[in-house]
Amino acid sequence: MTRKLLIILGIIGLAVAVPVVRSVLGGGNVLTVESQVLERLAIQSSVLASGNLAHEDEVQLMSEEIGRVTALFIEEGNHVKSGQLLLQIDDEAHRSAVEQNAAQVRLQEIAIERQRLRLENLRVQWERQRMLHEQGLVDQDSFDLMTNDLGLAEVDLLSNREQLSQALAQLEEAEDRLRKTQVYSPIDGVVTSLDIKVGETALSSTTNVPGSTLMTIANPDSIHTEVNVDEADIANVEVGQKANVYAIAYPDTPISGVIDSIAVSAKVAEGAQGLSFAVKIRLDPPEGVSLRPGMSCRAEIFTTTKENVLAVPIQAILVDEDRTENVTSYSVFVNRGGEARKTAVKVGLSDDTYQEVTEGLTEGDEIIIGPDRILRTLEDGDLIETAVS
Amino acid sequence: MHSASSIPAGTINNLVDILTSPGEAFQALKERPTFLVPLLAVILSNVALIFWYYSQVDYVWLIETTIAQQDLPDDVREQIVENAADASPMVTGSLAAAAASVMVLLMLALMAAYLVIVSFVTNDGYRFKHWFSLVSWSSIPIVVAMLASTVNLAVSESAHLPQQELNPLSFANLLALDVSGGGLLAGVLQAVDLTSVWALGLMVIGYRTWTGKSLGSSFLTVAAPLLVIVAVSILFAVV
Repeated sequence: MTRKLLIILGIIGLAVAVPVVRSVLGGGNVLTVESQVLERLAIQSSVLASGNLAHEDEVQLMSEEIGRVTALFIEEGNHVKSGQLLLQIDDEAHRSAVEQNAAQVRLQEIAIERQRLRLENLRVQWERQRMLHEQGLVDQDSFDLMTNDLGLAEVDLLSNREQLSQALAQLEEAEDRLRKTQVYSPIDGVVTSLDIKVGETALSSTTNVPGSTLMTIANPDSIHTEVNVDEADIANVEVGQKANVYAIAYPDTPISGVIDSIAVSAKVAEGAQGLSFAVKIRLDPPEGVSLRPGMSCRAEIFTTTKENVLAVPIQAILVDEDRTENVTSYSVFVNRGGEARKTAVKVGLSDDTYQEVTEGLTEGDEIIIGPDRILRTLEDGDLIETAVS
Repeated sequence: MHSASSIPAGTINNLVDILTSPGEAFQALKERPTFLVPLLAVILSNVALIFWYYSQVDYVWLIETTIAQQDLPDDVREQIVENAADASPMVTGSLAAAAASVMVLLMLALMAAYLVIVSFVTNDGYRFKHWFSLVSWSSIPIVVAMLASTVNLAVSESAHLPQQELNPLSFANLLALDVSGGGLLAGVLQAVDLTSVWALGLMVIGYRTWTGKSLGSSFLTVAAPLLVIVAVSILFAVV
């Protein structure tokens, strides 16, 4: 029985010893992890916002007169100069009006001349009547009548002169309306939108009808973006800060820009629920990038930049929250001779990719950065083999 | 089922003798063939190990590692991992444990059935219950493998211990061979361990004890199914 017991114990001992010896001799599980050597980097913290492109210098031309368009001298996409004739509205009626008013002016001038001659004649007659009245050859009634006629003639002349002024004013108005049948460009730029064709009726801007715009001219060099920054982030945004803007049409091409202005008051942006501030960013588009107003875009506004700081990839940072003490602590795993060693760190600024480490690590340390499925269950002292990235 | 305190002394003797004096154990079983205790020991030790493994291992990592060796499109791979993240490892462990139990029972029954056919041919008078008793008791060394695997799970970094490295007594692990490349030989080295060779040896001893045949004849009879399986596998691998 003793022999059998010894054999049993020997079998159990072997069953226990074999895995223990394997583990001690390093035959245990070695995990393959990714690592990165700690180096000094620049970190830019940023705020993300979305918006649209627009031209700073942009005018929407509307007609001041209602009429049929008889000629268009430009096409969409054309470059135009300030003062260049763009289109012609039918001016026949306006020319007639100018002619009528010019004729009315001439008639008034003739009436004034007639009245002036009559007045001169009446003055001569009055003088004669006065002398005869003094000699007693003309009665008082007749003399008073003549005096009255003279006075009325002077008033009539004044009236004619005022009517001439009125006719001149009407002529000027008719001429002005005639001039408005020709639409000129107010700025140098590009016709970005042409909303009228020859034969269509241009509506007057005074009718306030939507779509009465003739065309839109914009200065392509004045393109900017207006993005909506959430009210929670606006405190860190200042005029002059740099930004990278990504148009939807060029998702991988960053367009550098600078913040030009920040709205004074918040508003609820279209399609959003919370309050945001409109921020204008002046752009400097690179060669080969064709930006058009209305394009959707997203902007990364760099609020704070720190140069030459120790930084680790964000995925390498392990966060431990102690809710009872309300304390959050951070750590990373460092490769120390083939073993993963959990090292407490203090963190600072971060961006989308990297987190600044202010304490706990030394430049040159090999930080374990992944894969995530291993990192989340890694324990202090685990055997590792690394693929340095 | 007997409680631990009321297990017959014969059963305890058999448990000791099967490991220390197998000839005596099989001699006793010849008169009174039983199977429940060894069968339960093998199945329950298997089930316990599987449950503990699935409770310790990083399940998503396990799935990723398993499918990494398969030729799958990336989107299919990602979908599988995503589904795994939502799945309960203990549910999978339960299914694995149930499958393992059924497999053990099936393998033992098939082996017993084969020996019944041999008995029919040789007219030695033994029936299914005899041979099922023999193969069940011969499987007791598997419990030792389960013990070794349990210790291995305890001392290793259990969250990332691959299934193929769970049994430290497998020839692949004993010889520290890299069998990650797959293939017939790799599969054999992973599946076969010291205790399975031991179990085969016990069956040979048991068959010899009961039938009185020579050692060589007993080995050929008992090992024939295994030899056939190996031969067919080699044939398929070559072809």
